[in-house]
Amino acid sequence: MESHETNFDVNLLPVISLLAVLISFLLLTAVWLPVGTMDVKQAIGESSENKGEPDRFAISLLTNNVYSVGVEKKGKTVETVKVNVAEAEAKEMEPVIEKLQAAYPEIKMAFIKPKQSTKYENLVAVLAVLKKMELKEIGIEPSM
Amino acid sequence: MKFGSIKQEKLRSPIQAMACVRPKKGSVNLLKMAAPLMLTSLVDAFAVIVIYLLVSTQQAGKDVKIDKEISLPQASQSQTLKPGVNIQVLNNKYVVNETEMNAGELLTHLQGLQEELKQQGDERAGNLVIQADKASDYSGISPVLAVAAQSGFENIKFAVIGK
Repeated sequence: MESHETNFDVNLLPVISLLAVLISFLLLTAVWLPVGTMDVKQAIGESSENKGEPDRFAISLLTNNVYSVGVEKKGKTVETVKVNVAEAEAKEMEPVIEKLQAAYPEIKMAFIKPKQSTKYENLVAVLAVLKKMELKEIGIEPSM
Repeated sequence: MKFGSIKQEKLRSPIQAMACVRPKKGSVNLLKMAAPLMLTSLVDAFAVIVIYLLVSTQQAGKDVKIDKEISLPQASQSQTLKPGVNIQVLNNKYVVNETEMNAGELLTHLQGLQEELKQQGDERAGNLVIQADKASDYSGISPVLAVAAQSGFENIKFAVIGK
């Protein structure tokens, strides 16, 4: 008499096929760009009027290659340093701001004054440098 | 049950089948020594990959649709993306919630939107996410900043590609 073999194993092959299809679909459709944000807190309404002129670093983007980093105390410019920037990353600004931070350790605020022709890429690069320098409050001048 | 199907069927254990050195009973049937392929761990690994991909892709594209014409700038000190009102700057035209408008219309639209979000207690209230091309001039972004301050958006977030 021929023994009748019964297979109790669950057939996993369709499950594996389904998962493989799912993985390849997700890999193809996934967005791999790590989108982040550079956050800036703008003063609105009365809050900006009541504070007056705080002590701050003022960064003017004169052209897309020449920036000026100044120190403003009670609305008056105390010191200004011009920086020539070779690349969009504006790494040349870091030692300049470090020196000014050492000279004026009480200043934790920075204000960026771009020109109308300033490239957005350069503005973001300056923001990144200021964030790296651990300046807590960063603002941008809106010019109409 | 001498001839029961379960009793007749030898439940094959791979370890028992491999016991060549000290076989338990009689001679080892070499044909039955072939160990079945263990697919359970493979299924587990696949399931983990699927879950990881599902979670990570949901977080990456959180509420942000980047226009094909916009190439975002790269920045090293970027924060993680949080919910906010998205505004796209395209050739001095502004797109908010898929509605295109010029700088003049922006103020009334954003004011209305901010009031609506505040009433609903939406977490996007007060947060504005600006998407602009890296080669665009500040002249296109400046009106958004001015209007944002007037309409109550105090947290301005410039969308960037993290390094």
